[in-house]
Amino acid sequence: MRLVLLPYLILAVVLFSSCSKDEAPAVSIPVTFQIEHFVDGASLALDSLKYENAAGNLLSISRLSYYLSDFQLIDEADVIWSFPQPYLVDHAHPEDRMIEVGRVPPGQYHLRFLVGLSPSLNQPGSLPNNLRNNEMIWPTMMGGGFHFIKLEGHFLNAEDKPTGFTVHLGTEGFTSPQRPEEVVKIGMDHPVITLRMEVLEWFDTPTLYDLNEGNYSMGDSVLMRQLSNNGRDAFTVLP
Amino acid sequence: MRLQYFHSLFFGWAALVILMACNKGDDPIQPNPDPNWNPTYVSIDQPNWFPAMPAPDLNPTSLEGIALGRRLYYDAALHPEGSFSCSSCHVQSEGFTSNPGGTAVVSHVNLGWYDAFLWNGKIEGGLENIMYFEVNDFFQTDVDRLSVNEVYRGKFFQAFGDSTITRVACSKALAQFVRSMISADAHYDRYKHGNELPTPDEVMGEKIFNSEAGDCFHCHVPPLFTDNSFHNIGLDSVFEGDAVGRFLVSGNDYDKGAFKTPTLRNIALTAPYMHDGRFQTLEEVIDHYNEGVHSSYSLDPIMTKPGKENGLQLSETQKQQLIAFLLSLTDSTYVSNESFSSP
Repeated sequence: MRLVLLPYLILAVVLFSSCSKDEAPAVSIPVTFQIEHFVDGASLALDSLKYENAAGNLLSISRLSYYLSDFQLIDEADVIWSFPQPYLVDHAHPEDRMIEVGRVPPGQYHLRFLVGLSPSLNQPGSLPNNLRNNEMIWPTMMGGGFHFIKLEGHFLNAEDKPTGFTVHLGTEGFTSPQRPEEVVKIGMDHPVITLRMEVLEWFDTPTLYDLNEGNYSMGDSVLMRQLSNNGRDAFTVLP
Repeated sequence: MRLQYFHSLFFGWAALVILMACNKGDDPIQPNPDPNWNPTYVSIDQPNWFPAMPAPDLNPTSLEGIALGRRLYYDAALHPEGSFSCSSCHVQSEGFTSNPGGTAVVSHVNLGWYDAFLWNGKIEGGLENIMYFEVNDFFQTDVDRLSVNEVYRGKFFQAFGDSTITRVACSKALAQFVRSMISADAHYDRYKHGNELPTPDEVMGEKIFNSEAGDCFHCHVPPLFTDNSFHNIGLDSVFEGDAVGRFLVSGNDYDKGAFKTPTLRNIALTAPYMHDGRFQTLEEVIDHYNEGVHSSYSLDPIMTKPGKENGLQLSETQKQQLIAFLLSLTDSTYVSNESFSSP
């Protein structure tokens, strides 16, 4: 009679194992981030000349696209859970703003990530060769790799005339590492973690950035340094 | 015996559960409406240094579909009075464009990578969308005129398994042919990926193109030399009529004067230039970027670099070097490829 039960035992194993080869252990929870772009306490509205940065520039934003990469979650035992893969986020593509980076055990973590690409990813051919990555390429003769961020728009200059601005960052040394102070709680009761970018933070702290003094950053290492440093506190984790 | 029967039933059920659970992502079985329909499906042969071409969801490419599309492209029967065909305006020897005056004819090259068509991008989606616009709105094709042709009915059956000729089927065939029209064998491609060497002027011109000196790369992104987007490049400062460009579609004030970035591939063959054909030569185009940019509130931010608000300020030598680079984008094999010629 015991032999009669053996096939059922084998079947039970097959049923439970056949479709879950790619799944992590049951104790892990997916880490899903919802990205928000905010200005003055509200969602970013493109092409509205109504925002004012800390330097007093009245501006609109026509494009916001950037890479996030190198996610790290540090648990209470200081174990680092690393998820290096990059994500291209474009405000004009709402589907970009929900990303699942991997799975970790439930618990409390500190979060680290980059706006931009680490040196190993910022190489020609390192990202999938598709139209959207292609559009972010940073020419080889200017250092190569990809634009980390394209933040573009218009503003009223010192003569009150409308003109454009482009915040373009790329090449080694100009990523913006994010280290939000807020603790990230990951559990079944916290399925999605909200990461909010305050867009105008790119123009404030530590350098008060006046677009009249630098409306075009690409190729200007001084401006890129100021902007990449300003962007280090662009993101916060919402409770 | 009853236990054996129970075993068979149970394991049959279990096998079904396993199969159903593990096959959710598989393609559904495609119904074949006619056993005599046997199309030869093919993959588009795209260069490995190009970005991946978006694949159409509902119009798989077949040799029969490409051949039908090619025949339709060159047949004036698409026009209700038989007056002209696609090829009347899109002339192969001229890089699949021509100069009839008025709005410039968009060059048919590498369109499989586009997601918006016409100068203001009013047709969005893939090639099937723009080809349906051409058949349905531009030509207003009389499908009855095509349907009396027995040869065409046979070719539609070979391509789509149905000899009924519709405007949708015409546009699908045209889309397959145009998707196959890939230009990637210019001198530029050969010196980047083959055996040829660039001239010193081409090297310098490419540096100007891909640096802040010329700043062409932001919109004319290699290797397609377009970004599939829309920009006001300062041709005008007042926008009326069709000159409002993308604004007609988006209603966004910042799109006034913005037009789709054309590819620069075969640019030497595709004069005149700009959406309205206002420039006859590449020299005139470079002169515009160099010193003729008109300021306006919707001027693209890329065009507002300090010190270059009114133009790039390139020297005469730099302008000639930039033109030398642009000439390297001419693909002579594309404009003589018999696969794209009249059948």
